[in-house]
Amino acid sequence: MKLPLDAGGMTDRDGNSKTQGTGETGSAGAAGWHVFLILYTCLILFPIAFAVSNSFKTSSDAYNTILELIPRRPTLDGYRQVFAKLPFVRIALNTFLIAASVTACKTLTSLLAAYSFVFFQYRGKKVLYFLMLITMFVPFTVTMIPNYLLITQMGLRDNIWGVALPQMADVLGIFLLRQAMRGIPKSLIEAAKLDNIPDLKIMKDIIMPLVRPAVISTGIIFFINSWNEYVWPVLILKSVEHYTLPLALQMYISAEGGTDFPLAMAVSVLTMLIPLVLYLIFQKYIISIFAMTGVKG
Amino acid sequence: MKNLTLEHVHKEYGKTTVIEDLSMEIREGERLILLGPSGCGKSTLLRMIAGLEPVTGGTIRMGDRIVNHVPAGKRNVSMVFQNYAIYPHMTVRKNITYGLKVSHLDSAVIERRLDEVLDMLRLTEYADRKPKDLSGGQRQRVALARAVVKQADYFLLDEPLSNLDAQLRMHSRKELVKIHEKYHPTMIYVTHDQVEAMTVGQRIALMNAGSIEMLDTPGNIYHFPANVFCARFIGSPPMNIIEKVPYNRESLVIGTSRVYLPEEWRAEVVDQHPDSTYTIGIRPEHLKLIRTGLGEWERQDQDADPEGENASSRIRGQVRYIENYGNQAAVYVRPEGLAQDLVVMENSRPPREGELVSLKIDFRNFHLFSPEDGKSLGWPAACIREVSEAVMEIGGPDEYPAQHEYVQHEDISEDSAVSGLFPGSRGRRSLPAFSRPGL
Amino acid sequence: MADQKKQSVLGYVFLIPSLAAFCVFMFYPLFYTVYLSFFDWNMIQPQKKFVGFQNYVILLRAPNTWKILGNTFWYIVILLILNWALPYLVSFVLSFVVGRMRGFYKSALFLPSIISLVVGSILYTWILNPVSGPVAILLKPLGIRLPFWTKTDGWVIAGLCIITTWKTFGYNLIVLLAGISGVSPEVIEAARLDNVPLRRIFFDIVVPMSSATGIYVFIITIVQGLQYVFTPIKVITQGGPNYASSNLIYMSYHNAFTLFKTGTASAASVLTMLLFVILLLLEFRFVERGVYYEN
Repeated sequence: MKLPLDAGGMTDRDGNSKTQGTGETGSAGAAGWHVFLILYTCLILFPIAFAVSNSFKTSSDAYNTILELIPRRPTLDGYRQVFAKLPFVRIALNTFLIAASVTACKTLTSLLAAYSFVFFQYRGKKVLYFLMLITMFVPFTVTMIPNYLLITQMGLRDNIWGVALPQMADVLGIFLLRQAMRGIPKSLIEAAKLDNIPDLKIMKDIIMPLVRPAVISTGIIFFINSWNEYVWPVLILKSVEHYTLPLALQMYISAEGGTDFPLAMAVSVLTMLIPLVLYLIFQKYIISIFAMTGVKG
Repeated sequence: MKNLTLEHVHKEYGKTTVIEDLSMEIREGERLILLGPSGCGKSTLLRMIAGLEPVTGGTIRMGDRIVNHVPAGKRNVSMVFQNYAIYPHMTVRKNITYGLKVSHLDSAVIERRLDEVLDMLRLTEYADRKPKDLSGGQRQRVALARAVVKQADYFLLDEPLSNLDAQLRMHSRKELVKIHEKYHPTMIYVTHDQVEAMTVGQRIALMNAGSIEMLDTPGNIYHFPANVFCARFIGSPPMNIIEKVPYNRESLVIGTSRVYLPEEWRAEVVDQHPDSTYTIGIRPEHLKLIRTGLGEWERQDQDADPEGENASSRIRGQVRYIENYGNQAAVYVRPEGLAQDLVVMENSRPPREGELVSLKIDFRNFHLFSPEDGKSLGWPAACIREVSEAVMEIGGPDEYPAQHEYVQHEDISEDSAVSGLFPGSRGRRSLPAFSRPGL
Repeated sequence: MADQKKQSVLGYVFLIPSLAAFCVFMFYPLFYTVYLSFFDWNMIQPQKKFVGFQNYVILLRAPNTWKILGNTFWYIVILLILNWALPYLVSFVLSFVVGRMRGFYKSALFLPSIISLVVGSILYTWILNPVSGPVAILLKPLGIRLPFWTKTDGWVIAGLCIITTWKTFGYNLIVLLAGISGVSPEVIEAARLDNVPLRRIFFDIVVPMSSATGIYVFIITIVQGLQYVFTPIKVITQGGPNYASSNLIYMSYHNAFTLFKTGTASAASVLTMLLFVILLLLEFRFVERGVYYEN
């Protein structure tokens, strides 16, 4: 996903060169857009700063100085309460276990399926791929009742594995890894075949190293998505000790705002902490792999 | 036995037939070129030989062994791919030795071979770099090294130089020939570039639409093209072909000019294939431009009358357009009464556009084709002898093209042409088209 | 050929884990839901009662359904403006108008996409709190009073859309940026040399040349947007006040897990899926027809 990197230079050049012609200067236009974009970016990032700052305030400060981003009397009270009022470690561990197992499963099944779609020839391949792809357009409400019944029958309701089990495979992962594998020139494989290199070794020595970045970023996406997941866990998990972070967080919401403001902000911060750290580390990978999802083929 | 035999090879993808029925023999240790326009099936043929593409029908034999169902890895072939196909995540060293290591070759042997190819292809100092830190030319050499290090009996190359710039390409051509002469594998080289074909090949199989139009030495393909396709494909600018040229009273009627056909052509070629029209071919370098003063044709030419007895050997025309190459110029002349231009190579001072000129055909280098199927009708024995001798003089077909790329050919002088000798018979060691820049 | 057989077998073997998961948790439920939509059931009764199209009839006769369909329409309209038109414009501006800081904007605007919508919901209930929230405090001196949006028809949809947009804007922007990067800068340069105003460049050049991606994002904005908005509905309003914030997706959920009517819930899901299928067919049609493709 490369962007036309010299487009910026072009803007300034052209902007200057046609200043006289139209009276509209490109650079002034660009400056206007910068103002808009910066304001918009601030607006988008404000909630995060808002959460972080209020989570370190005392209850009264939070209500009285809600607009101040720097807490006057920084305190960890909010966080202390989180651990006091909730089985927080348990909840975080639940979330992590679900996310990790879902990520591992989805990555493995997606890798295998993508490999199958790209490197093997067999009947019905296109139809199967199309069938899988089209499930991206199936709303979750269509599968929620039967899956709920299925998990209940299996005795996995109110169990974190009941949350993880239906998420063993993922279309998005298959799609992304298939794209990545299709990007490997066919001739690389052919060159290896000419050297009589066994298929397993081709997979291990050539294909895997080349798709590793895509696998890592797909895995991170799986992890973050599962970490944030709300809809399915809320159907399955009933008791607080089995909750995941978004479910725990939900207890602190009400339409009126709820009662314990710094506590709610602290849980919010803790919930978004892991995804934020992952994002800060793997930002480039994540953005570039997401950019691929709009590409057909 | 490292020869390769194709018998009635047939290939289709679904319903489209790529190769109809192709048979040929590739000799042990030769450099054979598969040349043809894109889509002619040459790459498919190479990939079938490599075992990367199944054969629909017919047999491929390597030595005595039928290899139709032998997987690629067991055919003892090495291949250089057009996009090089070097592993981007491995260093140069790893790229070259990977195949050998997997096949459990003795590590001392691997080291020795590695050092040898690294040295031969000037890659020693880059051995520990990754492909992304190499230039295009270096990558190409890594691909070459990886194929060479295997020391396979069959050395296949699929347009290996097409991603290089002109300078590097010229250099790499020589390198390829050198490598071949060191190991003498049976080399099959696919290209669409006639210069590459001429300079690298000992024999060229000129392909078109899935079949072989001609299989011969570069010299013979150039001088004795088997049909109109071959005549047009080799040489640049391409041979002037005029279709349906009426023939009567011992002369060809080209536009309004009547050109007398020499005795040996009539006796040895035309009389064997009597017809009322012929397709004729003359290479631009075998046409002689005669300038006759501004605005006037020569007196005797003006008198010439297409219906009359006075046939001359000249075609009257007007200069329409000039392409200047620096050391020579391609002059586009529109013969009077003809609907197409004839191209003439002129290496002295070119005429001006609009100038009236005459063209003189050199009948030692002239081609007659059947008007029906475009096949060559042959040449008079004297022509064949003379042209062949000229080719022999410059060292025989084997080394003929590769060594004479830069020869200037100022010998194609007006004198030799006018006097009717084989034009530039000594100077024409390099085919004029090939030494021009920008080809 | 032996090789071909091996290929087929291995191909299927590699596909089995995914395929099995899809069959059990996607394809089978899909058919089961369609089946359930023809029965009257409450998930507990041992017997399901076949009622034919009754569930659909009940659903379409209920006045709430029409209100909810209307809500769904407004959700779609607002999400398309905030989450499709706006990022389309921003991606154009980022690609061709502003040069510097593109990477920064991209990273910053994408950031909320990795944060849970529940977090988004809780943050926005505070930020947009009509009495004590920062927005209300800031607007008070200007004499503007925030409506009690969670309790007000109309405003509630807008509020929930803003929350959803916060999360999904970045993703759509990234995808659209990738689509627009297929438009070569030379084309834009040529237009600029001809003094074509930016507005025309956007509508006459960039949009047609990136329309494949544009249509894709258009569709997912609807398909994913209606599902994304479920989370804030569920955690903030539970579809209220009086169904004013419910949409097709929430209606299914509400019928199934609050009212325990699997029949109407399934019927609503099937109708939702039909809507999405129609969108998908439209996409195929559009993409197949006059859409500009780089290759």
